[in-house]
Amino acid sequence: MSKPSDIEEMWRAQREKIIGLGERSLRKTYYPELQQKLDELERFRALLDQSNDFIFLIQAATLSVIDVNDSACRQLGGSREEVLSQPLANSLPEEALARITALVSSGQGEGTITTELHGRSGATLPVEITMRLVTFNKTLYGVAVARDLTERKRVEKALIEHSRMLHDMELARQIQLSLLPLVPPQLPGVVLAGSCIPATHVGGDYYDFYRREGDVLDLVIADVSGHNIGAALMAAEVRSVLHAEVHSFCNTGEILSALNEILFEDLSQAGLCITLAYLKFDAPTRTLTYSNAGHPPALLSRSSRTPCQELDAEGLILGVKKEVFFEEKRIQLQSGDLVLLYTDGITEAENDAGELFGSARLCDILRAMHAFRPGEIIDAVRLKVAQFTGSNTMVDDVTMVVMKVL
Amino acid sequence: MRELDEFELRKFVAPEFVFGFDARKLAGRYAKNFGARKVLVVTDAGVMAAGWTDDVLGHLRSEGIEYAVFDAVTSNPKAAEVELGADFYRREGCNAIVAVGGGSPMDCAKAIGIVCSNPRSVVVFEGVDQVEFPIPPLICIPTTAGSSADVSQFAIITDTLKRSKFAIISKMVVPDVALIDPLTTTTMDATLTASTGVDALCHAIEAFVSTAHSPITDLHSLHAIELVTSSLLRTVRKPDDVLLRGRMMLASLEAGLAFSNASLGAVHAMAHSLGGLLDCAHGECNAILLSHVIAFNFEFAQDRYVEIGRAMGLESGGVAPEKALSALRAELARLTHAAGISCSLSQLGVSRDDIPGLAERAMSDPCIFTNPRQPTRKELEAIYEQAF
Repeated sequence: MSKPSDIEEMWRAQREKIIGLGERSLRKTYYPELQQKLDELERFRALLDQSNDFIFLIQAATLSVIDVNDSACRQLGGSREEVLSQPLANSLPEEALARITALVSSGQGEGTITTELHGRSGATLPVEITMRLVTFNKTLYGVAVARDLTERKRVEKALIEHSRMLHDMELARQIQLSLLPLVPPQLPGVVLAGSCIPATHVGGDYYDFYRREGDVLDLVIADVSGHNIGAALMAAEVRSVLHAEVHSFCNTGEILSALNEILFEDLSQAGLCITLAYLKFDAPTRTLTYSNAGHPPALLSRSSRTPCQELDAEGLILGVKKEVFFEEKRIQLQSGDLVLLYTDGITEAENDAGELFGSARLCDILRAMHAFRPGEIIDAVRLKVAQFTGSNTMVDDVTMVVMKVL
Repeated sequence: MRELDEFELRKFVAPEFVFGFDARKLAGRYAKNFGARKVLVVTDAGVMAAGWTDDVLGHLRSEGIEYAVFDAVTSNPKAAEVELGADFYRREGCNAIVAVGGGSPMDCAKAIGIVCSNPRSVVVFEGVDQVEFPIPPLICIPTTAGSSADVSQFAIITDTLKRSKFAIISKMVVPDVALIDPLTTTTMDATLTASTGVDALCHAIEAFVSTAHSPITDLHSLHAIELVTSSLLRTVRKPDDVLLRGRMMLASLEAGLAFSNASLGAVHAMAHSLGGLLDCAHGECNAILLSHVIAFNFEFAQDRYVEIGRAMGLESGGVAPEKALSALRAELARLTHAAGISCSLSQLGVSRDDIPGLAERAMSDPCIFTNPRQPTRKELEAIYEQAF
């Protein structure tokens, strides 16, 4: 039971409040709430002003701009008051205005218009305007959000350019492949096979055969540094020069000297260089002469039991010096001999551990496949290299020529 | 009473009010000026039938104000009706409230406003100063001359679960404007005219003897007492006399201004308790209890009761206190009897077993805190007993 003094104190406190002297005995006022709403509005406004999009509130009946965010003012180049006093027609092309009018008069839904926004300084900006109709307090408005399309247009253009370039590269690849021998020549006493796979669309690898009178055949394999359009063009040039010059010389060393001299200017200008191996096989005598311009030497495998022999000769990479002497060497081949010409795309193929495929593995394949046909040997090498790297896509161009003496 | 008590701190809060014939016609203009887009019109079936609701709707329409009518209000408005009205308000997208009717629709409208701005159950706002956020703009158009909820800081709601009435007292529920048009009271029948008129008298008497009274509330109380005494019975007899209706409306307004600021006393505390239990007419409960409470309070506010007697036209010079008391009680009995109002609780259907509960509840009603004599529960039980 409360003490009488407690009850009296409670009565006194209640009476004070009824009289209106309590802390919360306030008459109704909306001002604190209004102030709070204004603060909220200001915060929200700051949010809209930070948007990269340009936001316009358009009164449907008059098509006049009632409100805009800061980004829009900055883009149109004026203060809020200036922007609001301008008719829409100053900022938008006629057809965009017509579409907005149509959308507004339809009275519902939303629409997207791709158009341009004209600033006061005369600058235009490609924009996509998304317009939604909303009703506030019985008045119809359009909320138009314009997004700057400059970046999107730039990306679209880059994409188109890229796809055109891809198309061009594919065309270049087709042309480059067509420059390689369609099928190896038929020559009594030998079987030939060749293959070239560029790492990208085009590459700097090249091989070819030139038939001379009396069943003599020249074999060439070359690797221009890089595997881009420049390398491909240079490979094409090598081909043209060789086609023109081959029959002026008999000595393989002289052929390379001449080739080096002719290409030297072009190579130095382009900052490119070429390695190249040149072989000449006289079928009736089974004599092979050869020269080398810094290229991985051709491999000669005589039987499945003996190690491979490297057919190297003294010389220098093409494009380093204008006048170079290339040694011509000679070897007598016999029935069953296999000669493999290749580019470093094979021996320098790398596995996950960073190990190189190397010429030893290549020799092992040659010996193991000694009884097989040149085309089958090429397929086997490609398969082994793919297994070694664990991938079907090559980092470098891969080119091989195999000759088997019957 | 100490002399300096005369200038204890007091506050006087009254809404803007427009008093006079056709005041109701300003409803549309006021709604518009308050920024109303769609108003919830809170009213009841009786007022609808009398045509006053439609009349006010017309004035809203003429100002282009949309509205939604909520008329599910009964006398002694229930908490459930308040929740229903608040749901309706939100669903209809209203932003202002117009109450057309007597105390019930007006109190219900206030409570709907509270719940709309302070989304909690209405029962939590019981007591003094419990309303935190201001309610939507509220326009009151009273159609009875008695409750004066249109100018007061009170809202009385019935909690049907507890079978009791509770008072919400907050300056936040004082309406924004009262449009007090005596013409709206011309459709009241004799019973309603009498019970609402006696309610106004009770307001004036309790406010006058309240411990929170002030010189300003005293002026209004005494004038209201004079007006009811001189006009009530004549108005009951001549319901179409708009002049008499105007005087009763003025009496109600002045009593309202007085009690809203000075608050009330034991009569109202006990009547709220009764009304919650029995759902009976508030004016009638007051009338039955008034005389007994005066007897209980008399020696604690003797001078003020004598002054009330003088305002009612009783002889006051040199009369002994006991004589003055019995003369005042006799005059009140004469008035209520002539107005045709029940004079005992048994007539209302109260059982003696209800008394402890009624007294218990009355002890915690905020109206009790300004009664000139601080009663115990036993004393309140005794007063209920006497009223049988």
